[in-house]
Amino acid sequence: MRASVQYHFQISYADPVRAMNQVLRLTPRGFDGQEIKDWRVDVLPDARMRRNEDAFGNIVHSCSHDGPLEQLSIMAEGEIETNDTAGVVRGLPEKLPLDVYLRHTAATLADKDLLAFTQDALSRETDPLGRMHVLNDALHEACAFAPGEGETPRPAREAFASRAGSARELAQVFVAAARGVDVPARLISGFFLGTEGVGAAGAHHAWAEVFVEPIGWIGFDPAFGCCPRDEYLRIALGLDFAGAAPRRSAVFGYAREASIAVLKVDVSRQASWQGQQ
Amino acid sequence: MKSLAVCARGAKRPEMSSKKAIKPMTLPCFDEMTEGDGAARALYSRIAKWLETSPPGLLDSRRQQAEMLFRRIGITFAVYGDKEAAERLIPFDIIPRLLGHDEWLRLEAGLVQRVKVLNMFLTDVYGAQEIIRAGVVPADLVFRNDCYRPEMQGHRAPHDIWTHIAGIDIVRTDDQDFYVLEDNCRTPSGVSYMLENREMMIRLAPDLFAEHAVMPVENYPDSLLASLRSVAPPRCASEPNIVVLTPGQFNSAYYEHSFLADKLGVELVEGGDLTVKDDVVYMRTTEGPKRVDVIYRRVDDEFIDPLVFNPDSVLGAAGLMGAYLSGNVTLANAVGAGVADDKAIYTYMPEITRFYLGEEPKLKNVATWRCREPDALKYVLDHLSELVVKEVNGSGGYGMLVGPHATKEQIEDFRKKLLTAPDNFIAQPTLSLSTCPTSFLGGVAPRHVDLRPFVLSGSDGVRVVPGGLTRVALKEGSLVVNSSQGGGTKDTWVLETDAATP
Repeated sequence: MRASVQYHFQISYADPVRAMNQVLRLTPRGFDGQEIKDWRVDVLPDARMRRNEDAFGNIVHSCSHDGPLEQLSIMAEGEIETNDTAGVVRGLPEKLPLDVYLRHTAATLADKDLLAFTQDALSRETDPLGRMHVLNDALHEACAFAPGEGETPRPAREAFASRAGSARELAQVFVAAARGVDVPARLISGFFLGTEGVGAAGAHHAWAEVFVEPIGWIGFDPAFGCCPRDEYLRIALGLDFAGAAPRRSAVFGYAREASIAVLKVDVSRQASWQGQQ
Repeated sequence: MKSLAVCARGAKRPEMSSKKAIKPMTLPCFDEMTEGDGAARALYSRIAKWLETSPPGLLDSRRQQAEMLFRRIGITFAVYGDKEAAERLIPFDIIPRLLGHDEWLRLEAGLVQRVKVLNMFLTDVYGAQEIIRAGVVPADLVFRNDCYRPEMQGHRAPHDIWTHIAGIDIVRTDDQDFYVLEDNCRTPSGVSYMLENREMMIRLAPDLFAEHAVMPVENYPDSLLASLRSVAPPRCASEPNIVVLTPGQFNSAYYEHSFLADKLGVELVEGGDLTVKDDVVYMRTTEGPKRVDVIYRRVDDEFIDPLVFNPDSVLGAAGLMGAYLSGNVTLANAVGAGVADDKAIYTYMPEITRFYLGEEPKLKNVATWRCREPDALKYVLDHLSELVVKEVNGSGGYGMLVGPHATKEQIEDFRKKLLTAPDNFIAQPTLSLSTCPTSFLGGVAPRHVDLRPFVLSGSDGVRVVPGGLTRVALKEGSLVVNSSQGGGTKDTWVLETDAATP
């Protein structure tokens, strides 16, 4: 699908902050499943934006703001075209050894319950790819999707214990479960562009990717119970949500922060279909 | 402080009586002062004479004086998990530990080689990964290691130096070989004790000190400063601004942090004193923000930048990693250096040395069973009562089993741990550690010792101050010298001559 995407993130502080630093992972990279025709990231008030690539291959913008700062806007917008690759992610520069994606982080450490659940779910499936589908279905069945993408996600074991979670929480559960059975896994943050069929679209979405021989990296979305299709705009990856987060910031001192995220997607799905035919 | 965990030669067979296992001192081990026949080695001749001729009670009164002085200076350390005595003095032993010039030269050459290899390993791991592709070190040991930082992958540390300040823990079993017990590549502590102990000795035993031609350690701060200066970012002003970053006064090594900042003549800062703007680090001063070029940080990786690591940390500075990765500030030690001092990686050090240098390691490794290997695990499980088993990521002597000194329950506990997660453990034989004469209330007796020399790496080379921190297990027969586990310290005298008598 071809779309014009506009993302707007608006932050206001209860008390003006003296200084702030932030890093933004809001720039999608092209691969076989998505082409980025034009993309830019901007902040208001104006700041010196630095663009770097992190060790995972994400494009990271960072900037510093001097205070007093009461309001802050972040814009990310561009033209993209996505294709349904049934979740398979090819054509990305892979910079890190696979073993890295078997690391446990505090947020993606499977506890006994989650491990037992995973082993039980996988007990009758031997095909490596089939096992991941089974896992995704089982987690989708067991855990209710409770959108809440503005919150800091709970660690996987907590989210799983409550059998409910936001997309980022469920994605962390999936990552923890996969690593728990020695499948390399990572967390993906991105946008869900579609509004039809699967409930209300939030601005942010998150899912998981696992490495399955001989195919490579494949996405799984336990929140929606499917593999990412052309309605998914893949933006950043990390070992857990914190590593892939669209934004991380720190202010000098402490400041209460309120934020609103708005995603506008101008889709021309038909044009894309025609293009493919 | 990290652990010394090799044990004296204890019970050979499980059925041996526990009494003997608890008193390995009755078995022969190398005493650094005496020959086999009980006569003093030439190196220690003057020490032996001093001990013989000292009036009774002199050592006791000197020890009391030392304790009073240490209290007055305020040199204490905090014991984690000990609510009763949150701040303790590390007992100081008045009898110095001696190394002859020839012994030191051998040790020094080995230390320089070791640290060179550690830095090469880190450069490779975070760069081309040749050692992994060559199959010398297993990929999972490196990339799944807790101390490996994926965020650093592909990054080159300035001048390829990752561990600017390394503490290499050394033990001896005879008058020839030096064994490395453990490498410390992150934030090794203890150097303040090395310096304070020397001052204390000169004060308490001036005559004895004057009788020996002891090589100086007082220039350590100068060497450290020179090393830190040499790795300043190329674009920084002629006189780089260096700071010591401490987690704060509740850290067990806070005394050392403030001591070092003072000796270096640089600012001691906490996270809250630093700000980062546009990838440049500043410290707050009364004259406004001042740019920082080199940070000798005693804050662990996970806490240095909430934007990259632990988001709740206030011990570092937000944006510090950005400044570091863009080359505007140098961190010593480098982020991610801990992967080289892991106990599992340690076991590969001989192979790693051969791989990079094509030479044999000058310092020996203690033979080690990697419990991740099934054959090794089987051996370890069959010989738990004779071995020292250590947790790969444990430190401070907390997560280990000293077989010959352990109760049956402790051994069975460890057996369970080993079976659940064999990858987390290594095991070492019970070495018969060397001893040095040590004074205690009412007498002098041999006690087991180790040595932590401090090795400094800068763009202009490797520096080792002659000496280090000698730690001594004060309990008879004990092999655990950790300060947190009841160990003490001694001054370490490296002589300008091979023996004490000219």
